[in-house]
Amino acid sequence: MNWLTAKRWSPYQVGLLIGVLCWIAFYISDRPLSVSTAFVKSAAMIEKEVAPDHYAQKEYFQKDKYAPTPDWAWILVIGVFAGALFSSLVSRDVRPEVVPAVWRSTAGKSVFFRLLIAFIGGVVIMFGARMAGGCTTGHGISGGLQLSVGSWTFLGTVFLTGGLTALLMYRTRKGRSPNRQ
Amino acid sequence: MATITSLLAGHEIVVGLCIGFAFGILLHKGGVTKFDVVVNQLRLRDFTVLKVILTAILVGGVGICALKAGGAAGTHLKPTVFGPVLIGGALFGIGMALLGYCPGTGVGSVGGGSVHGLVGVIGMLAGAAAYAEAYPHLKAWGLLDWQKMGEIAFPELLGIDTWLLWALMAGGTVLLFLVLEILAPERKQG
Repeated sequence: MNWLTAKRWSPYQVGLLIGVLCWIAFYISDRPLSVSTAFVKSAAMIEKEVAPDHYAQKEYFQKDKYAPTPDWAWILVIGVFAGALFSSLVSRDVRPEVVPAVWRSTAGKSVFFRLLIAFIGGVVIMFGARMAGGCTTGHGISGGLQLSVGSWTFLGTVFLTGGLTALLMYRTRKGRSPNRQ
Repeated sequence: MATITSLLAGHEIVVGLCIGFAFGILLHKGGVTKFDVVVNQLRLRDFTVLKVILTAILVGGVGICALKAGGAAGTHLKPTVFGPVLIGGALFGIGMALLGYCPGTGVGSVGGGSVHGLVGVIGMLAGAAAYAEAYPHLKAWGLLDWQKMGEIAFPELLGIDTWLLWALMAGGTVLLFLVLEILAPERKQG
């Protein structure tokens, strides 16, 4: 079982197996893999509990696919967490991480700043995913593999804007940036 | 083979959980549940994410194309609406650079102990709620239907055969991987 306890597999191997997993999802469940839809369902579940009157007025939550009950797409994301937890545990790769190495060497060691930006990043990425109609999984992989024009446009836009943002944000502080001293 | 689908009918929750579980293992083994790997992809210093996505699209796409040809799979195309895809995609890219994960890999990262990933997941729930607030306004402005093209795919758009396009994509992808392995060889990791 060495393969199961390995921390990393080749990215080509992993990509191939994700491709096969897409066959299974299409064949058995007649559904594409997707992740961000489940976040709308979860938000709907929470809002229905916390503020039922406000929830009832939300047009977006009234769509059938966002009904606040667990279904295939929702439980799939629970499965992603469980699978990653299992894989991390068996390969002894669980370690609490608050400020990752690349962040530390470029943006500093402040815990508060990292958590603040992680939260803001989470809000922005999901707002964008819902506007575009999918995330890296739903648009990128599931739409990409059906050669959807919109999904490939999404992938290109994400890598372009994400790349530019990251190149601006994550710059090593040693030398070369006299403006920052 | 039809017995597999009929056997599993009515157990969609169990099937969804199993598929998600396998997906979670693969995301972790691929290294894409790591902040540094995702961010270094965006900085063009590590091409793991690109290799995983493009291989998944190629293998998944060719197989599902065959399943569809045999009548064993349906089509699940999202409608192409350039306005929201471009603006939403731009926001997604910026958010991905800030968070260092995408929604799926962010959830997976929590399984590996990422505390900032968990904060990002809470942010994503807030982002979904915020979008539900903004939705009626975005709809009223006409943004969500701006440059609506319907459910279009490249074979129809370009007027070429699906299998020919896959052959070209396979060639292009393999060529890109060869170039990447020469310019930025994959490092062995334990």
